[in-house]
Amino acid sequence: MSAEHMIEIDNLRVRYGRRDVLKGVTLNVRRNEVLGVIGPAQSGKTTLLRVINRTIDDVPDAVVRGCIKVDGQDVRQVKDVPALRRKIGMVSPLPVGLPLSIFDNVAFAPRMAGVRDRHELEARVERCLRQAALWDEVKDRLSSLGTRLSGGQQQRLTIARALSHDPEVLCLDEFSIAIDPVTTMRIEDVLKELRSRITIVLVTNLVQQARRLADRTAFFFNGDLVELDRTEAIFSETPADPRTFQYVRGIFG
Amino acid sequence: MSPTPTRRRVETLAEAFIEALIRLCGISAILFVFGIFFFVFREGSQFLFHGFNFREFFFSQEWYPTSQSHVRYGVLALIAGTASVTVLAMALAVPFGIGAAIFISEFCGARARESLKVTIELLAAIPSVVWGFIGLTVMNRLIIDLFHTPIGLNVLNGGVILALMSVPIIVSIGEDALKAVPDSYREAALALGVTRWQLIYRVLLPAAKNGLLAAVLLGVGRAVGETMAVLMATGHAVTIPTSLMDSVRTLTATIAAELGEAPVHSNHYQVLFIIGILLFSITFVVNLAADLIVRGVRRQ
Amino acid sequence: MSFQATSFTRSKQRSELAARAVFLMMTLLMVVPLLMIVGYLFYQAWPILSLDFLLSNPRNGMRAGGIWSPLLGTIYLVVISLVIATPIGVLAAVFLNEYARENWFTRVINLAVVNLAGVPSIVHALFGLGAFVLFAGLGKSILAASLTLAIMTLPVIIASTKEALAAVPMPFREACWNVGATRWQTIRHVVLPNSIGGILTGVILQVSRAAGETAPIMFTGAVFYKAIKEGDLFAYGLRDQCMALSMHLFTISTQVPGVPKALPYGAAVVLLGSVLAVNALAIVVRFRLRSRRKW
Repeated sequence: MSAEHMIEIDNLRVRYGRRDVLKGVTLNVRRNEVLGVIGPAQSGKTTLLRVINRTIDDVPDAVVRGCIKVDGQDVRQVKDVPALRRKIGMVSPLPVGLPLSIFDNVAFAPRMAGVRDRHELEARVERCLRQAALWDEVKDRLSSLGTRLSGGQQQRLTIARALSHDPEVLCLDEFSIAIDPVTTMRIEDVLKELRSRITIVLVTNLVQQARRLADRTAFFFNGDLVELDRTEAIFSETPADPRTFQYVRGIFG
Repeated sequence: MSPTPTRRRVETLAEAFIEALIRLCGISAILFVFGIFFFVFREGSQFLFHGFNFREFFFSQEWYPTSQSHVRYGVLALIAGTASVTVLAMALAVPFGIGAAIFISEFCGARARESLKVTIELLAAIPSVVWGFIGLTVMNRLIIDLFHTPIGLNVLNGGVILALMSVPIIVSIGEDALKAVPDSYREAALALGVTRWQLIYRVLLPAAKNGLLAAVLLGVGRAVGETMAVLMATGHAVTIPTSLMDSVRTLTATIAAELGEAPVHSNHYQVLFIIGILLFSITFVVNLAADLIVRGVRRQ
Repeated sequence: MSFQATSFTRSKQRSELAARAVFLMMTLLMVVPLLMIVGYLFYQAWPILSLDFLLSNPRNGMRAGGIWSPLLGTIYLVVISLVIATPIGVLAAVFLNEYARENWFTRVINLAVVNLAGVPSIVHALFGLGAFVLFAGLGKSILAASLTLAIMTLPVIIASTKEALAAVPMPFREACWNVGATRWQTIRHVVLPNSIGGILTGVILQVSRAAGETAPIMFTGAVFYKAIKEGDLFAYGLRDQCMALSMHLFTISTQVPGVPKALPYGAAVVLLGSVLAVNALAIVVRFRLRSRRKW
């Protein structure tokens, strides 16, 4: 069973103080699939990702119940949280370039994990920047500050950083919100390149993006998982739930 | 793709050690505050519990610690000394300080604001012994010339010096309080056609009153706790003042002036520590009150 | 309908100008006399200010000569208290800003920091006497005085460091945590290096406060008079007592009769000038940092 599913979520309930953010979500993410997650704002999509890589720990009044397994490991029982987070690449909505050189940005995660060898680091940095479609633009200025790049470049830098620790899962949280359409397309190409090798969870506010990229799509509304099915089914004339039909066609949200 | 190696045990241990150190330093302020109270109390505790006369201490103005025949430890005159210079200092510093805070916050352009804030900051940096020296020389001269008194070291001298010392803290916190009043208040009032005076008097001051009160309290705390400046500027008379021209002694100055002479662990020495406990308690209460008031502001 | 100034608007404009004038007056009334006083001090000290004044010891019962031994003593006290206070203060601020949760305990710590800053300087002296000189058995020494100064100036470093740490945007930390860096790794490699400016400002302010304080050192290590070799930078030892510039000013202006007029003014001007210069340095550092931000 667990060989098939990269992520297993069973009856996940999350509360921030008095507010229920996720109300009993059960879903599985298959290995090497692209799972699209769509839904209007405040549906719990970002919270879902935060639970997976345990960054929910830093939200002061969050209460998490239920079972979440990544690669068969119960995420909430894990002792070495940094190791868990290295298994999962995370790309947030706003592009972030760390105030380090571009090289140090991408070398950061391997260094923190203990990689010391200069050649190894250089190889990794080049590989990840190439995978993120950023290498050609920055290869001559790897020592310049990451914060000085454009928004689109910083988002690709974030992806390079996320890939630098060899994750098995890549989670993207509305990555295209703050970048231009051209860069969005380039990053979508990057994801297409990666899809056969790693599992991807793609949270997006652009339903068409899910349609383009996702194998299966999950529709969240107000903390509930409304429907999870093959993408064609979600976008067809007859999805299982009428709310899915309406949301996908822009009738609300 | 090789998986990333795990960090060495040594690194993880070193990190645990550093984080423990950080936590220890985090609570260090609490440890030090307790430590200060503990050690000051300890030095005065023996006499405090054996033979200390509370009534005489608080209600008698007869302070004769070195008398051969009849030792008395009444600090009423010293309390009056502290109170008189503090009251005078606040009477001067509060209006001027808040006036300056209003000017900086409401009337200033950005350039002028920067220069004024820098000046206030430099004013705050002047060491208290230099203020005392100014009181001893410049203010002394001024008071003698203006008021024709025999000596110029008195309540007036100490009060003016203390006022100048307390102003920066009142201005800085007062300005923060005014800045915290939302611009929408100002815009709404001005749209209704009120004058600047009315805006300040009826809208801003009431809205910022908690922060301004906290500023004043902190200024009071500063004034009560000041040592060197009042030691040098208020003279040496241990009496309850009846006019601004009287010399006085504050609680702080008394400790500073007599601690060197009092034999270690003698009664006199211990009473000086007891005065220290009194001072610590006063400033503790004042700071606590200011913090509670500011917290009330934040909850609004 | 025209927008001619009515008598109502004109009176409003007058009232506006009047308000502005009044508050400007109040501000100037504080600032101008102060500038005049400082000018007067320099004027009186002028005859005696010279390199020799700084490098020669007080002579003739402190009625002549210079301020070398107090100056050196102050430098010792400042440097040692800085070395003690800075690590504790920086780590305390790191705890408050990076590790502590928003709960009652953190509130108590913050309250303690504010209280520590508000403790009267003479009470610090009593504490230093009771804890370091007597209880810890250090005796009256530079070490005891420096420890007392360090605790006294701790809040300055904590406040500046906290401000600098808080200025580092949260997204940087989150990005680091997302790629598997621990809290401390994030602090060490991203947050602290980008807070150095604020920490430096705090250290500079600590120096200026430590240099100016008199009461805390009067009973814990500073002494009326001590003979040391002129121009010798290593004249004092940790267990020695020392002279200090702040205390020297107090001594020669109140305890010694027959001092020529310019001498105490000279000491006052050197002390005041150094303190103001150090503070001006802090302001300049803060300014330059604002423009050299890495984000």
